[in-house]
Amino acid sequence: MSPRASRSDFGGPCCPRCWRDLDPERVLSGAQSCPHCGGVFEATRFDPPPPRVDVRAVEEAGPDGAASCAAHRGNVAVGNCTRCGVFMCDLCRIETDAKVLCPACFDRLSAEGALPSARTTFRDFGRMGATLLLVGLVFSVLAAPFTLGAVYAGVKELRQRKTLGEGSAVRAWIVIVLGVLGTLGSVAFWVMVAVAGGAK
Amino acid sequence: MKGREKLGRRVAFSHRRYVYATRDCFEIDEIEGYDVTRKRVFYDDVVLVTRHRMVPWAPIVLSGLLSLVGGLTAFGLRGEAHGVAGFTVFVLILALVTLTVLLVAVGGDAITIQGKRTQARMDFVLRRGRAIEVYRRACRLARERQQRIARQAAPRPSGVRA
Repeated sequence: MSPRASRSDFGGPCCPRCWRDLDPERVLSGAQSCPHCGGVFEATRFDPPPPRVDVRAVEEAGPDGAASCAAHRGNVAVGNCTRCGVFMCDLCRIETDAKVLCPACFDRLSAEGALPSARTTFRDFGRMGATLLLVGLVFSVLAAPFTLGAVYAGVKELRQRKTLGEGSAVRAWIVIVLGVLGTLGSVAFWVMVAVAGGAK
Repeated sequence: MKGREKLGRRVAFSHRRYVYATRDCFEIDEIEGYDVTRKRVFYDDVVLVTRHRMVPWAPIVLSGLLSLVGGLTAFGLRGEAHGVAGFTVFVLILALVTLTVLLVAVGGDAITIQGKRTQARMDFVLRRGRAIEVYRRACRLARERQQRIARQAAPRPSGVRA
């Protein structure tokens, strides 16, 4: 067995030290040593149960018993797609984000980014906001554009967290509050400068 | 489980990875710059959870170098830095040397959660208790889910109607 091309190229159980493949049958729970590198590690092995889908054939249900699936004519339909209404069997049924979808609608919605649980790429707005705040701090009285950007990023972070159903948004709120304070401070400074200049 | 709970992280030079436990899976957020790529290891896909001791080389080298620089600075300032300044330099160097020794002696723990197609890895430097806690929690989450699926899939005893 050869080492994996890269650590992200994952394809099953491997040694956590050298990342070479391990024979799944030989890995047991408890103290283990890698046959390749000799490294010792503690392991807990799992045997995931195979997915079980009960699909009834139309012949079994009888001609009056059920409609057939749109994609699998021989299978009994168990429901409709909540988006397009097509009949689906248990093989086609995809339940996600409080929707029951057929494979085609799932593909379409996940490509559009409309299914939060199927999304895999995001922007880290929280970090972006924190960076803008720091830049604003460096620019001191000229901070307004950066702190406004931080507020925008904070709001985007809040929205994203709400969409994804993620918990604590403390960082986003801190960024928003500090961003607003920074903007107000910067604007107040220039207003005072203008007023003082006008008074002279 | 409501929302998601942070379990641990792994920090490298180019990216950071955070691992969270959610209702159905372990989520791995890989952050490069301002881009986040999310991967998931579903509880019903977990095949192996491991824990092993590791040497945290990056923190050791960093604190060692800082100790060295501090020591050389103190050596250069000997005779000049008295009173509070000398004491401050001494305390800083002592803290850095202690940290380096601790890192070498205690080290860290790494946990991997391996699924059929994806994996999550977390490093815990100087936090063995937390590492053991996370290891047990990861095992429990995967075991509970897989046992539930196995129970649902088990054939019903004869005479019992669904």
